[in-house]
Amino acid sequence: MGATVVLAETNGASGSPSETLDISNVNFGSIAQAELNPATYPITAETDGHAFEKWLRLYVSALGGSSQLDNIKIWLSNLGGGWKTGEGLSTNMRTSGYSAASYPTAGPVETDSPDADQAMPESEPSGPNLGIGGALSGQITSAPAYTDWCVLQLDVTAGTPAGSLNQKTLTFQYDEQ
Amino acid sequence: MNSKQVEKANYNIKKVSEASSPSTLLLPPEWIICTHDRPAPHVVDFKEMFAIKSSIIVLQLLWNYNCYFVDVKRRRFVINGGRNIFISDWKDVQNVEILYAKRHTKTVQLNKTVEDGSGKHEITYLLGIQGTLDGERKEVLIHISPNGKEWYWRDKR
Repeated sequence: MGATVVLAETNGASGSPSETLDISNVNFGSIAQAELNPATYPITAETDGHAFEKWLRLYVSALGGSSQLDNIKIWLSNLGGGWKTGEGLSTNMRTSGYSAASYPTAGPVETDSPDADQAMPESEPSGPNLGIGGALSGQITSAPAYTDWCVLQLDVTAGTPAGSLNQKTLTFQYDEQ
Repeated sequence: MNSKQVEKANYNIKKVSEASSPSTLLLPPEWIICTHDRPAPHVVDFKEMFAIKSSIIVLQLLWNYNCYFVDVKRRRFVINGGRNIFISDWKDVQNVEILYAKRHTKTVQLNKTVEDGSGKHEITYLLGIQGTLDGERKEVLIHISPNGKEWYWRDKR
């Protein structure tokens, strides 16, 4: 038996957040909603265009006999057919100069994210890029517990072609001891 | 662990290293441990070690021409070419530790439009041995896949 860890997405204002545990996809769109249908909520191709941010974190509901969980890495492991013109993914995650993001009072934004200001890594980072308790070297030693927030935002431009984006794969990794 | 048991463990080192040949390069590593409740050296599957990690007092990894040995209780630590390791070769170390981890790698799709099942979840196993020997930090990390046959070195995480 090991730790029980799922990816959780939170939407809504901080006073009345809505959390979805163990999300089956990270679909970006024009609504702040977990597992949204991108065909129903398309992103508008425009200058400095953005989908709603995704506020994600790992939720550890039980350690299952393990003593700690750490070394969190999240990256794009497969770009599918690649990026469309003007398409990009931004994040708050980084391997140095890290500080934890705070969930916004009014919830995720569709404007340019003030938190997701880094390019999303497209290969496994050399070290942890998401912290626990505000530090990349942080550890979860009791449950239930969360990692820090992982903020993602899909960016487009006026030149991004209409239609489906190429499906990509997000990988998240952690060590359990 | 008494001296007789040490000799037995030492014999195991020689036995494998002397049999080394190109064919043995394809073999998975062999793990020999002594635990508090079972002090005689015995071979275990690496995945079993995760459950008994807190009781391990001696661990010996035989892998191709290499031997890695750590005696947690006596603070002895050896990384050696593996052909001949004798008790006299042991050196006291400080801060010797055996580190274990299960590494979980999960995937989720971005802008998934077709339901094709849940993401993948893979588990690999990590073993780290570290200690300070002659003022120098020594550390190794083994990374092993679930089937125990695909394994390779990695830098310490």
